[in-house]
Amino acid sequence: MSENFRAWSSSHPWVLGDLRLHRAALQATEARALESYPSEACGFLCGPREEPRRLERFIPEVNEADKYHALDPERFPRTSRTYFKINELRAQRLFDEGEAQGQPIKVIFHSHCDSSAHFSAEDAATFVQGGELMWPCAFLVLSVGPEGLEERRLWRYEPSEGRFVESPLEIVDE
Amino acid sequence: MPITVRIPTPMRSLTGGKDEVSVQGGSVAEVIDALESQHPGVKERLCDEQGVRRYVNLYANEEDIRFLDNLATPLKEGDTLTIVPALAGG
Repeated sequence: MSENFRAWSSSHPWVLGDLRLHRAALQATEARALESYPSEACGFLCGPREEPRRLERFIPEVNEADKYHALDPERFPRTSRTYFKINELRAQRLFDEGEAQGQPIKVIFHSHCDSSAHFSAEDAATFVQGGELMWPCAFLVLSVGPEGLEERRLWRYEPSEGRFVESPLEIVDE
Repeated sequence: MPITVRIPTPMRSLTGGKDEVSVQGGSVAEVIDALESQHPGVKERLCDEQGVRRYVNLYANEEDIRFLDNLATPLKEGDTLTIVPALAGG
């Protein structure tokens, strides 16, 4: 069992998935995915600490995939068409601020263009290192095609299986 | 020249739970070597034979060292080296 995951299961229980997303935050997330197409969009969903399952605000982030690809195409072979990368220092500060303000980041979001809303091998290899989950989050993937939004799936890490599994995501109006 | 190194939660098992470590070094490479001597196993998590691992980011103060001089990036007293796991994917 991952030590981080065990600790985070109680301190950051949203890593266990089964979350409730406010419709306005969903719409903001979907709008970002649509406007970013055919590049991948990315960002975070946060919500009140005292309601661990609740997600009520979307925080868009800049996809820096193309910047890294231009710098080092060997190590970063993909462009924003099939890859996303968030400035990790800024992200770390957002995580810290969210914790301090009682509005922790609970979900890392990204979109897929012209593909399904699966959790890719690249995602899994990035977010779990040595059997340890790297960020205390669940993961939302939206897929977008030429006709618009296609699929929406929430994923969470399952340490007993060493893989990410799909998890329920309820859309709420209140 | 003491440099402050910020350690992310998933790597604190290697630093005895510490979220910050102070080490000597005039470059990122020297700081990593100093970290490794105090906390064996850190270097392997950060670097491979090609340099900084793709799934790890090292920030010298505000900038990813990939956009500076990579492992040769100079550091001076008072600087901070922040280790952050990648936030990326396909």
